[in-house]
Amino acid sequence: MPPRLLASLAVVSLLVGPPSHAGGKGAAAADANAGVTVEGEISVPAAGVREPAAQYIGFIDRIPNPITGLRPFDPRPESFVYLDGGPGGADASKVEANKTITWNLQSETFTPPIMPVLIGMPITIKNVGKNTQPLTADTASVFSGTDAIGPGGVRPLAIKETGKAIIIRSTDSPHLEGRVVALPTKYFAAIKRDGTFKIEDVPAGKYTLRVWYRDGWLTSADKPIEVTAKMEKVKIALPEKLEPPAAGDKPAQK
Amino acid sequence: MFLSKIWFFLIGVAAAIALSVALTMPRPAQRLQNDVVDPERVARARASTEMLLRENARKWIDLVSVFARVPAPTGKQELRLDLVLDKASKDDPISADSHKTAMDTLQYILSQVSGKQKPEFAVALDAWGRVVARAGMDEGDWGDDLSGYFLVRDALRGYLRDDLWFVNGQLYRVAAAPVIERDKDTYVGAVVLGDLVDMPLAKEIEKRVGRCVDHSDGSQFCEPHVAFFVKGQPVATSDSTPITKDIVEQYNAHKAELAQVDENGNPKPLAPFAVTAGDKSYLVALKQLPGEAGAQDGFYAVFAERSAAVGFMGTLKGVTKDDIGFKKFPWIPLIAIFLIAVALGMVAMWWESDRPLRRLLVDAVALGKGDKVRLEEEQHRGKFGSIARSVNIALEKLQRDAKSAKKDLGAVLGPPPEEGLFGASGARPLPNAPMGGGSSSSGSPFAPPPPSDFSFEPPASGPPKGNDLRLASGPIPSVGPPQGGGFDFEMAPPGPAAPPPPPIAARTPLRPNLPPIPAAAPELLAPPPLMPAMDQLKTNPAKPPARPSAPPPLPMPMTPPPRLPTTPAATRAAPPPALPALDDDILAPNVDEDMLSASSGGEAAPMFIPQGGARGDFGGATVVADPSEDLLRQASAGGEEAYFRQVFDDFAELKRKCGESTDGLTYEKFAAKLRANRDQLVAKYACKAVKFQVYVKDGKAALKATPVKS
Repeated sequence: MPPRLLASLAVVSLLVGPPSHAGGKGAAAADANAGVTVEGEISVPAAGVREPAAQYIGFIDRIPNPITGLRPFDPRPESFVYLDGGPGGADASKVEANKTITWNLQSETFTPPIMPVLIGMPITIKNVGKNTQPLTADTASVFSGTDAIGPGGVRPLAIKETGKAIIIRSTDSPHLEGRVVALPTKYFAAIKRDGTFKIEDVPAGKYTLRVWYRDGWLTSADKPIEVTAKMEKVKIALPEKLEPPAAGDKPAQK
Repeated sequence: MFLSKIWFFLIGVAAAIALSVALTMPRPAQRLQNDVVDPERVARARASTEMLLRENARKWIDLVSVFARVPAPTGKQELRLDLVLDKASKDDPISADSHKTAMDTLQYILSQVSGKQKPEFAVALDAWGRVVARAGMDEGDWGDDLSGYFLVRDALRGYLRDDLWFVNGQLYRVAAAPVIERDKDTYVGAVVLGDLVDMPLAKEIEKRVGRCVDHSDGSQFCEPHVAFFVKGQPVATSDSTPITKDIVEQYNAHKAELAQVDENGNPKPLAPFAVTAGDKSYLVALKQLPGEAGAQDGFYAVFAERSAAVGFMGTLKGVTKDDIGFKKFPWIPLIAIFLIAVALGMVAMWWESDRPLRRLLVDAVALGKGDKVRLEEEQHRGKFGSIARSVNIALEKLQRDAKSAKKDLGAVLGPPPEEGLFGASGARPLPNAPMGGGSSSSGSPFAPPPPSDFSFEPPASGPPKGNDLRLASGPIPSVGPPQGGGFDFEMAPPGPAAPPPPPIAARTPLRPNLPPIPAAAPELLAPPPLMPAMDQLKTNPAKPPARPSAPPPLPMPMTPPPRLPTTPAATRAAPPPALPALDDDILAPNVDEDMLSASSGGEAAPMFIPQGGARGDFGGATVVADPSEDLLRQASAGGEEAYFRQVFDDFAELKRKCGESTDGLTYEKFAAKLRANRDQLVAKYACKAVKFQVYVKDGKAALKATPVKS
């Protein structure tokens, strides 16, 4: 199905599913009786999303292929969803002992490109690629030790601030950058390629479902929801204009 | 020579100006070359390089576009790239089958491309940017995610684009195109082609943007050079250059400037700058590379060695036949100017040098032939007149030097009579002419000759006396003894004797053995005819002499005057067999030596010397005493005292008979003078002895010395 058609079919829906033990990425494991699983789908509007400026253009400007229309820019791989608010409680921000989040660094990509983590949760970058990558962070206190990570090497990160994207870059590969965002609670999830997400073990209550894109919240996509046991899937259509402007975007450069 | 000098000066100035212009003219051109042409050349080459790279990028985009749509080979529909990538996009992870099929497909497509357009590698990506297969590079690796590359992201969205990647220390030109599933018209992946930026590419660009020179050994040298740098290291250069480090330093120094973009987002090139390496200076133009390589301090440089100073010779070497052809070079005016210059120079030379030189030559030849007695100084201008004057003065000096001995003897013999030769008769009141040629009389019509280039000591005898006939009246007669006013003491040189002077009439023989004076003697006793000019001066005193300053002419040869009968002693005494006679006067102290020089100096001497050994022939003077050969032999043998006594006695007696005073005349002084003159002659002519003869000259006693060789 052409992407244009997929985009035109995007709708906002909110589904409240049964509690799930599997949990999505980034969702903390919880007691089965403690909460419900919030599932949903983030769709791209039919008109598409205004894409950020092109970067690292070569000698020739980009040429749209003459065969078919361009695929709409999809911000979802660089986005995650988060349930803000709710009843709170110590369990929501509890860091599990002896658990470390591993963020894979492939040869040319962080997987996922944006990593939401619970504040205080240990996170380690693991180089699963074959190249040594000298990494830098825009926040100096993130790294300890040397910055270069060889193949198979790990590098722990210490995130001390919530609600801020910390950008990790490789000085050898301009395109290689990843973001890590610390959150106060564990109710967040990455967005899959098909736009779906799943947040497990969410206590019932009123929340605001928010979408984080690259460097900040897409405030226009905020959606208040009430998490109940019979909650339906949540469907959110991303706005055409991604706000706030992606702080990590670089100016157009040829 | 004034015009010639001026002309040569002008020619020299013109040549100096022309040379200065020739040497200076290349410098503005060189400055223009260094400041404008060279930088512009490098900047243009850099711009051309940019255009070539753009063109090359476009070719790669076109190729990858075709690459993404290549149909499967007949009978192998599974090798359709769109189907392969569509299937792989649905795999998680990508299956080995999908990888293998994709690899086969890439290999097949690559086999369809040949030549320079064959890429270094090809990568097939699924719809999510995962590597399904690689060909040409890391073929065993797949499944990794390349969606981080902006090129891949754009290709997955449907863009055709290019980029520059720096992978594993090498720079690649890459281009990507989306792979669209034809049946469903959906994006199922992308394909990326890459080619290495290496030396062949740099050389190809260098060849196209620069100027190439083929060497005799088949090699080729092109300039400007092209080099690509990433992360401070050269990754591809068209020429091994020692300035890569300097270029990188300059890049780092201007990085902020290079990062600036124009209104279209294109990086601004940096103005060419100079880099020196060793003794060479280069001009370098930089521009940051686009794409990801640009973000990794990637740039390319176009550089060329600064043009060497051409200089004058270099300019000449650069002249072509066309430059000096008649259409471009003003040959006709140049030749005309040259001919005019040569003609003017030759005219000036002829006017100022050749013509007066020829005139001087003619004058000198006439002098040599005897047609003239001196050079015509006033007819020669400038230096030639000076030469003539110098020659004349030299002639005078020679005459003057020959009379010094005579003057010394005169001191021994005592003062001359008050009236001198003509003083008593009043026949010799001659105008006084100074030695220097300029007449002391203010009415001289002749301008003074130009100064001589030569100099000599003035004669020790002082200024000329009033009875200087030669200087006052021009030519001295060719006959007759010296017209001195005092005692004459002549020294006859060896060699053929000149005809004797005309005899002086009415001379009474002073010695018994002398023959009587012929009847014609009364006329001869009168003062001998002076020089024709003298006579002319006497008869026409108003008429100035022709050349007041010239020495008296002594024409040669001269017709010998009729001889007086010789005395027996003269007849008896044979002349020295082989010794030419020398006539050399020794004057009394108060007799002007200039007057003597007319008769005894230089070439005038032989005319007083008897020819053929005719001893006693004294040119018109009456020989009073001629010592016998015996006495002469005695003198040679050591009995000179007797000989000198004999000569003294004869001389004293003759003086008395001539009515001259003998006061102060002593034998000792006389003998000393004879010895001195004898020694002088012996030294001068290498003779054995000297014979002294006493005779009457112009009514006065005189002595003559003759060298005797045997």
